[in-house]
Amino acid sequence: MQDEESLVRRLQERDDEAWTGLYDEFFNRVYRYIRLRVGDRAEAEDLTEQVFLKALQSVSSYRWRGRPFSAWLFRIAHNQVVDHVRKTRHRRTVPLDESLPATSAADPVLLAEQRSILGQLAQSVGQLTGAQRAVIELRFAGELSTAETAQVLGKSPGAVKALQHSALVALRKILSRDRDG
Amino acid sequence: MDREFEDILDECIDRITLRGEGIEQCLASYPAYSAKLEPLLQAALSATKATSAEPRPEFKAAAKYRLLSALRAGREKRRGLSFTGRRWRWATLGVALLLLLLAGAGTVAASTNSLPDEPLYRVKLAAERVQMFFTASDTAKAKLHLKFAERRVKEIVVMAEKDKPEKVEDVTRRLSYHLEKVRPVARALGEKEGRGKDIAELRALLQRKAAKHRAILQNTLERAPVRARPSLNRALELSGQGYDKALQYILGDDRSRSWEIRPRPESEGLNDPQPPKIQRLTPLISPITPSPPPSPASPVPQSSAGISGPGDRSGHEHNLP
Repeated sequence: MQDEESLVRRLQERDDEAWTGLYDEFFNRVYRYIRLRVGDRAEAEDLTEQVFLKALQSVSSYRWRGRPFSAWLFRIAHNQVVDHVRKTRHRRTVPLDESLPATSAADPVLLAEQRSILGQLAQSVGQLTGAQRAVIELRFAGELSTAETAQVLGKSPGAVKALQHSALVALRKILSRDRDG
Repeated sequence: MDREFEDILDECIDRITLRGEGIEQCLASYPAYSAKLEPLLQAALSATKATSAEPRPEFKAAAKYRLLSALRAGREKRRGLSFTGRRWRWATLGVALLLLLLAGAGTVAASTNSLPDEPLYRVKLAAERVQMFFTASDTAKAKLHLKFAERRVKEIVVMAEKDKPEKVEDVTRRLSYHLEKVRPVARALGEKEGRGKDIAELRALLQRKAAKHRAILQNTLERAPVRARPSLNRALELSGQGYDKALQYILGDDRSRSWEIRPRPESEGLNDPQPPKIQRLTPLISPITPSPPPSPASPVPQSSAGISGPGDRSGHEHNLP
């Protein structure tokens, strides 16, 4: 806690090292979270950059209350995404596949198949309810702990665990249905 | 019972996703629940795979560069340099206006050809701000930003030829700024119905400028002094990204790759955690757009479970120094 409070102070003092550390720790996690929501790679990159610039603009008004700083950062990310989705609701989304990690397959056909499977998985997450999806996005893409996820969502850790449970049950059903059908 | 199971599931997810343990290890810890746990942990693994996209390393590095530039620009402001700077900016703007009124176009026209290492350059920038201020429509502003971007490219070329890499970096930031300002317009046009002519015009202009600027910068890179090449590479890279972004927004897909980033001759990698030249930079502009303090209660849709906090985006103009 002391460390995090000191980190926040250094961020507020615009310390290069603190910001570099924050960037290195969170950039990919925030990107994955946003990418899962918006689909398009370029837009996800742009929004991720905006999250950090927004954090830089807003950090001076951040008040340390013992809550995880990551929750604050992901709240910015969440609001960026909400704002973006609202503005671009009518636009088609680009399938999330081309920047999914290259697997061990050297064969382009196999690689394409694997990427397609990963794209389907991402679509399956998209079929969850809003609250379930939010938990999955924050826990798995954002790699937040249950406590941090609870802070971002304004829920109790118990409620997050329950949502996580129901989300995984639903995801399993969706995946089985897709596999069978 | 459910609560206990949810706690166990949560613990196993942490062990698998954060600590890298296998599903079997977790099932062995809770044999009584293994039948119920196993399919859910498999689903959790699937969710982990589904969320494993990574940003492009070159974008990540460029975004870091922009963040650190913004960080330093803000720090200078906080140190009070900006007070003088701001006064100087307003004074320059005032002088530019006065010159426009009193001396007519002559003085300002003289400044039009000034270079970043010359005294009249500030007048040139101030005159550009005045011109931007009096430009009404967003589309016209975007075109004007592209015109100024072309000026920046020409200035980069001259500064590189004069072997002044620090000036090349300064001007590159200004170039990035102009291209960033085109993006929201491109996005808005791409989303609107019935703006086909504007879209076609801006798209053609973007494609033309992108190709032209790439050719100019690449040509300069081949004959520039060695010391200026890393900053020229940066200019090539950032302008390429700037144009690609704007084109992606206006096209709404990936057909817009106006140029590929060429491998740089120097060994200096974009992935360096903190390239030395970033440290040397003393940014004159902030690439971020000042906007009102973030609202702690931005509207959140039903699905977002009541999340609020900073995060709205704005596309306001901001002053260049």
